[in-house]
Amino acid sequence: MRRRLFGKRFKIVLGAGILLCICLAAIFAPYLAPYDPYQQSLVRRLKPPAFMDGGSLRNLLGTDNYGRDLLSRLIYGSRISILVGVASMALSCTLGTVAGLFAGFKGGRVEQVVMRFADAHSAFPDILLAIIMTAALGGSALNLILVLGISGWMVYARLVFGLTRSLRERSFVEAAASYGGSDRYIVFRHILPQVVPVLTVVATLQVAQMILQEAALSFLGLGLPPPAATWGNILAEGRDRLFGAPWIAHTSGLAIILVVFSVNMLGNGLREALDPKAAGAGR
Amino acid sequence: MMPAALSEATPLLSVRDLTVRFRSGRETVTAIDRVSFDVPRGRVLGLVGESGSGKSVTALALMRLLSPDMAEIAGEVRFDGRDLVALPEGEMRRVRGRHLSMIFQEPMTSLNPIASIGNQICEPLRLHLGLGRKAARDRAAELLAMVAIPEPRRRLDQYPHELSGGMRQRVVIAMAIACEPRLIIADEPTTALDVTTQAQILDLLRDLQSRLGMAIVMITHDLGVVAEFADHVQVMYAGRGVERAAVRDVFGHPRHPYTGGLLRCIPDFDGDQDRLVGIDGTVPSLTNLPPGCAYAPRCERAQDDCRIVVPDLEAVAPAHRAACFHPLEFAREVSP
Repeated sequence: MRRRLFGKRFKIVLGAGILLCICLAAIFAPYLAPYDPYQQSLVRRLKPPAFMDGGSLRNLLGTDNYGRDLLSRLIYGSRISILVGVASMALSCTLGTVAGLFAGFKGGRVEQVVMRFADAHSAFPDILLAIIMTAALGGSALNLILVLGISGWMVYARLVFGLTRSLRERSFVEAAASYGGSDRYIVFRHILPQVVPVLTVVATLQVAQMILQEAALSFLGLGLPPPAATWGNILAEGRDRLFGAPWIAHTSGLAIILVVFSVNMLGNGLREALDPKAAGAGR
Repeated sequence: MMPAALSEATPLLSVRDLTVRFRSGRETVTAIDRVSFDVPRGRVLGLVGESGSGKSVTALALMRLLSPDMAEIAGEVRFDGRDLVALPEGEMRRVRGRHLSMIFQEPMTSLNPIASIGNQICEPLRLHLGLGRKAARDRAAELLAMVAIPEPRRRLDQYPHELSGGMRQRVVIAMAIACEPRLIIADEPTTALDVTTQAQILDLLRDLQSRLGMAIVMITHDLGVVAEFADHVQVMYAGRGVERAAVRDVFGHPRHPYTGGLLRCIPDFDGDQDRLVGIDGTVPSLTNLPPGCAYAPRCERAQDDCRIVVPDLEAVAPAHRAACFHPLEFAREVSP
């Protein structure tokens, strides 16, 4: 049989490779960035990138309205994007998994309370919650993580709840109880390990969602306040100059696309690799 | 094995008036109604009945594996001097797997698909005996050898999907005997296996039972298994015990018409019988039991009293009980 053009190994390697580069860039930003991302220069305002007419090698990706080097701002911006994306994913994943395991294993009244709360929360618009929280707490990376983390737990809760419910009825869970396993033992030894592969895939894909959401919130002015170098902020500034200096929006937009693309690649590759139905062929 | 007199005097498991009611919405369904039986030390009791007769519920009730939210258990289950029904959950957990363990019907699903065989057998050992990683692994390999699995060391690192059904059931048995329990409840342990494997598993169970001196409650709908394996038999119908006696008495001269009917259902290959005999009608729904004997609607011997009063399981002969007002004659011979 002919192999598919993009096999799971290719997807994982490509996605993880790009992500690794971006993570390294984020970690070593002070060494990689050619300029201070906050350094303004009135004489070098709105310079186009090196590959366009009028651009120079001094600013590879050009400069913005205040003459700040875009490449440097993008490199520093990746810190916020990745930090917020990963941390808020971790927060919502933890909250949702605990809630889902609890509701799914206990059932009955616990299930009703937890899952109806998830339903109610799903019906509540994320952006509104974000506006309320930023208004109350102010814009900072920590608050962004809290806002995004709290507004994303329902996905995990539903997923884990469903899996737990069906696993609880499986006879190996009953067998574990029959040789004296406690509830906690059964949940952590027998149910959670079976949930983790699915969870990994969803969590990976969710990082991309979170990065997009962070960019969207920053774009709307609900993220970090303006001088901060975040991709969403750069994109928002680029919007005002979309015709005069399109590279501002384009480069930051492309950076977001690249991260989301590679995270999705990685997530899809993992899904194919961890899916028990597809397993066996390539392991 | 212990002398008969002593083992009769203090049964290992003594179940008295065990009743299980399930709540479903506003209704309650009585799945088991005042079931009583004894299992002497080191002996085998066969619990026989059709689907829905309450065999598996009895097993789960004995293990206290029914969720208290859904099921209400009454009566007394005296196991080695302690009443399991009244035991706090924490103590019950120390009994499960240690002194009382269970073999499930489906070896395909009663093993965790993503844990290695070795880790699964180690679980009860580590939980109850507090063995370390190394000691538990050694013991697990010994157990696999005991259940006649070739190359036990290598099998420890294999996963359930790499084993055949019979092998998996051996692993399940190895887990059940891991802590050398005094009683094993085997819920249809051979039903999901093919016939040759069934015989091997039964041989293995019998061998282990005599070597380790365990008692077994063998739950089955297969009268052949009971005839071969059990010392005593309890026949169940619609959640009630209808006949209880030594295996030779039940097969030799059944007294309850239902037992007689069951025995007549066994195909007789060397006789002149050319059609399989069945029992007319179906098991009544537990939500809608007739007021008297549950078997009365299908019973050819049923009379008016059967339809009004539920007969108790009473002695019809020494050590032979049947719940019937009009039991079959003693002389009746039905060969299995």
